[in-house]
Amino acid sequence: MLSYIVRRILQAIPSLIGISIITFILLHIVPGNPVRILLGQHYTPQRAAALAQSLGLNKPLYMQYLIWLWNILHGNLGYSYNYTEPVTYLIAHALPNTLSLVLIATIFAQLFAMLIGTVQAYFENTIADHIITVLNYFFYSMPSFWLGILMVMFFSIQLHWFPSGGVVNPQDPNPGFWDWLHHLILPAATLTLVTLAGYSRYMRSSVRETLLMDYVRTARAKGLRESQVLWRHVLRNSILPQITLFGLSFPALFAGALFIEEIFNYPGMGLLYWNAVGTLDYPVLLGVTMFLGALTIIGNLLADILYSLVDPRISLESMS
Amino acid sequence: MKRKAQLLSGGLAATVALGAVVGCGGGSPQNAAGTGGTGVQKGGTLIYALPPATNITWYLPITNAGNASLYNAQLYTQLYPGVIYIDHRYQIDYANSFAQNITYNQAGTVYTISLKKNWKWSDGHPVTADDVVWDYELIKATDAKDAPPPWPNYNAGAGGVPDNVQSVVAKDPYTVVITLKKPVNQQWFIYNGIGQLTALPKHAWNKYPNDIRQEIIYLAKQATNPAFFTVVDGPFKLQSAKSSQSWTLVPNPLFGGHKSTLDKLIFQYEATNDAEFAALKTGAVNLGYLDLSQYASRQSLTSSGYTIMPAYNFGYNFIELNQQKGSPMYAAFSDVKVRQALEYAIDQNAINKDIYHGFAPPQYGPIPTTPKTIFFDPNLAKPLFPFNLAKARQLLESDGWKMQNGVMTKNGLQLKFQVIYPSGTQSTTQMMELIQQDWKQIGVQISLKPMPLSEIFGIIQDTSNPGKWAAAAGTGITYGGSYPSGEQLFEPGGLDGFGYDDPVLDKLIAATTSPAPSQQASLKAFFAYEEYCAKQVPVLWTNGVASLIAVAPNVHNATEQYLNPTTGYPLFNYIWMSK
Repeated sequence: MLSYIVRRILQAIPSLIGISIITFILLHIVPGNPVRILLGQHYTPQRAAALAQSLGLNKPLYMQYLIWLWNILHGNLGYSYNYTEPVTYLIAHALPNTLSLVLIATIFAQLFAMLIGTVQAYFENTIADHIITVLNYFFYSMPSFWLGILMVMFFSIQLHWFPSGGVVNPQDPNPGFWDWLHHLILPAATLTLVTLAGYSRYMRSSVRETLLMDYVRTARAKGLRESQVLWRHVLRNSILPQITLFGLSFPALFAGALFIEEIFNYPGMGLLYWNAVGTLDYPVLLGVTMFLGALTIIGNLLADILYSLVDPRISLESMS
Repeated sequence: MKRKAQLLSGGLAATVALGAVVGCGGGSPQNAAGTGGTGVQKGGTLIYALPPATNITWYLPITNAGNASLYNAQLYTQLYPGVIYIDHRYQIDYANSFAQNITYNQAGTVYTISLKKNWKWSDGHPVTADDVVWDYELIKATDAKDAPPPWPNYNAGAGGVPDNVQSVVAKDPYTVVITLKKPVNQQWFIYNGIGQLTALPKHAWNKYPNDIRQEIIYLAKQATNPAFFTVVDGPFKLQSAKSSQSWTLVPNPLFGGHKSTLDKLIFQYEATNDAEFAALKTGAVNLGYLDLSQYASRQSLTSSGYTIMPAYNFGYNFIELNQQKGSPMYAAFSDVKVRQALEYAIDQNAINKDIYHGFAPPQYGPIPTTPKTIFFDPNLAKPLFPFNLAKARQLLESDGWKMQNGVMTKNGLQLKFQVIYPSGTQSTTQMMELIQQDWKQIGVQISLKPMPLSEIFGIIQDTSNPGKWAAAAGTGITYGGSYPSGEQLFEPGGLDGFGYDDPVLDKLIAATTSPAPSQQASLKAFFAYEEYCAKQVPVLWTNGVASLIAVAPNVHNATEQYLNPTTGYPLFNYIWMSK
């Protein structure tokens, strides 16, 4: 197992370098210039030259890339142009917020998906199945920012149940866990709803396939109660694809949180990235992209490991 | 002087004004309760919304260009007020300044600043003339040509500081004397030169007393660290700062001026206009703004008792015409009659009424009619170029232009060009389309190209490529507390009208910065410049667009006087809240 993990991590290095090169080139061919943006109304050619020099932007592109790569190898993701803070510091501050949002949303989405998918598969082609399918497609097709606005309008403005934004109440000098949770519920619910549909459709298909398996028929023939068949034999085998999906979709959820963080004024990775796009803050954009790249690779790796743990038929050694 | 990223339509637009309020056109706010004398209640948290993507990144009152944002300044001026405060009428307000008065000699070379004696740093040390002199020394060091990064100081050169300064000395603990190398207009120097000065806590910050270079490197490193700014002399102290979240200030009990009755003042980060609107609706923000695109939704706020008020900053908006040699329209735009004709054909009344809901008064010169200040020449009260297509066409024809195939043409040159303008704002687009239609009627054909504002700045400020653009719209100038004369604007190389050069105007501008025997004489020279400039139309004057401020019913004194949209620097210490 350990050698497999090490090998996978080593295999990830070329991928990450590839991501960094592509991102670096793409960022620099985007129209606009961070120096112009930073100087704005104070732009003069002299100031621009001085600022470009201090940011290292006057060097050839390949040189800028190599310097950046050298720094990253030393654990230095650079300094944000906009915040004049280290990118690692900015990510370290934004990450816990996004992580909590994404984790909670993913866990709830997975749990509900298992429940809904199983119900749909078990009661296939019934009215319940059709209603859930319609609802699923409704939420699946709804843009997250739109759903977020609706949630704010209804639960914050109309009902005053939840705050419309922020991560804690700024008026409270020592906000506690409940205040934090109170602020997290709406954005997490929005992210859960928009991701739930995808998971539950997979779960429905997976449960349907499992229900047709011989071992399910055998279990029933043995006289097991239906609940035992469902829990012991159907569900355990049906959730395997969900694990893969979880690993793969985790980074995508980070990206998906971008709009939700904007709507809910939620200071996570998405908002950090959004602000960096507006000012062409290259170090932040590169740092966040690399982080997400690494997360995708780790997510895949975790999915494989989890897969092997849940399904004894799969051995990572043999896979490798 | 600040060139602003002015999306003409948006609340973002008059950037200054996010926090600002103006009474003009909006009527008296119901909750703008008097001047705070009677009935003032203690307590409450004032939550002030920052516009989308505005982060506070710098806390030191001396800034470099990359951090010279209005919102950084709005926060650090609560901690470190300037030596002088320019009020909403654009006059020096000594009651809210650290200076109690400024005297000067007739030649305009020696300035004596008398400081208030009751001001203390929050650690109990007195605020003295030494602190002001030290601030000047830092400004001088950060302005030096070889200043280490992230300097230079962006304000370099304004008001002749430090180039025209011979000495700044503390005559006694409460008197600063500034001697200049050559005489200047006293008002101009007070606004632009002395206006840059503030007191900084030398006793707490002077880590390298014998090495000013090391000191400015050290201060630049601390400038982004909110925890460093513990010793203050302003009305508020910084309690906490969370990037992309909120900045919490609490009153400074040792402040020498008007003390705040608030419990807290919070600068609240807003990711989007929608998030800010929701925060207003839920009460999470009680001093915010309404983007003009959200104007139709105003009733949902007013029904909750919010007051919506327009806020006008002191500046002007324009369409910039490229008059550099090499510009595709050089021959046309360097002709004053063409510029005047184009001005005649802009229907500012329709723009104001139909696009900006009456919150964008027409403007025909470098000094706005709104807000009212002593700098507006009464002779210009009647518009010089009111909308008149017949006159516009007549003027062009009298200048030798002839209509050929629907386009005015002279010596083979057609009045046909592209106008670039900031993308992303509906009302700017609508304004440009209206202008496009009107100009077409006088034989001027334009194509419109929206692009990001930063790109526009990049194109128009690249003087090595004058052929890349013809005209640019949707930007403006805000004077931001500086003397509103035109030396940085309309003299060659100024911010406006690249390529514009008129020796007569240069002389009139020079007169505004020359010594004057009295303020009246100073204003007379100013009006001469203003009138000539308005007539010359170096840029095409366009409507002055307001921001809309939303004030919760329990917020009081949120008036033009205290929110001061004119300069953009609010006196939050006068705002109080009822229970």
